[in-house]
Amino acid sequence: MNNVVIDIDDVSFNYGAVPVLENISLKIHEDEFIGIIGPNASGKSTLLKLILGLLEPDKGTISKFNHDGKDLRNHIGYVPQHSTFSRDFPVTVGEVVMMGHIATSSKYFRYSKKEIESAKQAMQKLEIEDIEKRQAGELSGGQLQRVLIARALVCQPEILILDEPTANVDMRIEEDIFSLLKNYSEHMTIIVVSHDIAFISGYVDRVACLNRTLVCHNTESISGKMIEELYDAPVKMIHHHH
Amino acid sequence: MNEFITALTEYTFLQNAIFACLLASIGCGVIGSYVVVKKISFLTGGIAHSVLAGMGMAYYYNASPIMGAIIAALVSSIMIGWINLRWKEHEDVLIAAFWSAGMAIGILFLSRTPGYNVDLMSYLFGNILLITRSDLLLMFLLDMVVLTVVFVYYKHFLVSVFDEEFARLRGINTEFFYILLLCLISITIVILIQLVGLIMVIALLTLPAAIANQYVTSLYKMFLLSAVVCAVISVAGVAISFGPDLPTGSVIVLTACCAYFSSVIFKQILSSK
Repeated sequence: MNNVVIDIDDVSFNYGAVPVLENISLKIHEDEFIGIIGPNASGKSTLLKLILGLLEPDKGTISKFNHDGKDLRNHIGYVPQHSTFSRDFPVTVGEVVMMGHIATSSKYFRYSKKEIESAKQAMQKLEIEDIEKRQAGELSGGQLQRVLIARALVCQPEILILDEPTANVDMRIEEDIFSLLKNYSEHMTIIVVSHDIAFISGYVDRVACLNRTLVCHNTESISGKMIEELYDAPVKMIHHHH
Repeated sequence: MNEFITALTEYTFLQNAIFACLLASIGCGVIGSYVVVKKISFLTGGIAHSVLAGMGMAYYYNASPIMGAIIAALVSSIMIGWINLRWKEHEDVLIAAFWSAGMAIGILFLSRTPGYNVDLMSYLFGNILLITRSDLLLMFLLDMVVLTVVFVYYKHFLVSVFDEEFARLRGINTEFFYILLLCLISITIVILIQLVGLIMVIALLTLPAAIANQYVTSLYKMFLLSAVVCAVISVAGVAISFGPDLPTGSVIVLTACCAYFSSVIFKQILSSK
């Protein structure tokens, strides 16, 4: 087993008096591709925000390490659910991808040649180089998702975190995005949040099922009973091909 | 129109007015674009109106009203920004409080100032025809401050305004850039007050940029286009108001509104084809 890169130790979190997460413990290893699944309002996005450091846990600790054991705040790439910006925001695809360099760029107004080059490479990998000049707000859900993944890759992350990356895309594009992630997972830790257990389990190494508490965290051991417990309704068993 | 052009060659006050329009358009184009894309026009209106507090105090203590305006605009933008960051859910009430408190304080001080000063009307409603050389110099300096800061932090502002959460994750101090942006807005308000007065300043900080937003795909292009739009609108306003001797500030604002609605309709027709 590889090194632990994220160690979530007995974490609880409340919004006011409402408990959102209770006693979560989970170790995520280097180069692992892990899915976090659960019904709506199960605390998935909250757990991501805690891992990212956007929220602080009320109880417990979350430690993050890079490959040599140091703190890695700047090496996490994050792909948000994309509905937050206004459709008529004047920004092109290329400019959004370039934002991945913001923490390290030293030039005023422009980015350096080297930075532009690495952004172009990320766009090629995600096959979005031909829409570089388009306005980000005009894109389809799938295209926009690729743009946000490209931006996260430009940050050269050791860990890539995606929040419902396929919420607004059709099935075919969903498959594209996940096989792409599958490739990246060979040399990158990937955490992906989804409500779609059937789809995700074909790609990821491990699934953490969340509904305020962590119900289970292994694809092998998902049983019908656990899924019932998770979704509060009988669900058909899913075939795993490992 | 010919009459206006002849007058323009003859009268310095008209030349000054045109220079003022051009100088104001720089700040208006750049900062107006941020106001529009960040959707904070109500907040901007709040800062603009709270400026009256500073002017009222300046009159009372016999100091320079425009300096009073600059200080009041900066103080209120920092206070609104700081409280807003910690109390987000009551943003609209907070702005309403600053908006009215600023006006109220201004009026209290003015009522205690011996001899009601007519200049006040120019700050409320603008009087571009009274602009002097030293006003122009001040406008130029304020423009330079705004342009320098925006040039240095263009990328940081873009990321913070476009995707605040991402910016924070990359270690950008988004709270600092939010308050810095409000300070730039307050400086621009002071520039624009000379043109249209603090009551109508919000028109020039939103309408030209909103027009530009319909035609561009990048923020820096929006700066340029909205500066041009603002220049055309304000010069046209001066020209239109000159002959029939109408209040220039009001004519500029109405020209801006007409331009905005025409542009919206034009865009609608274009997209329905």
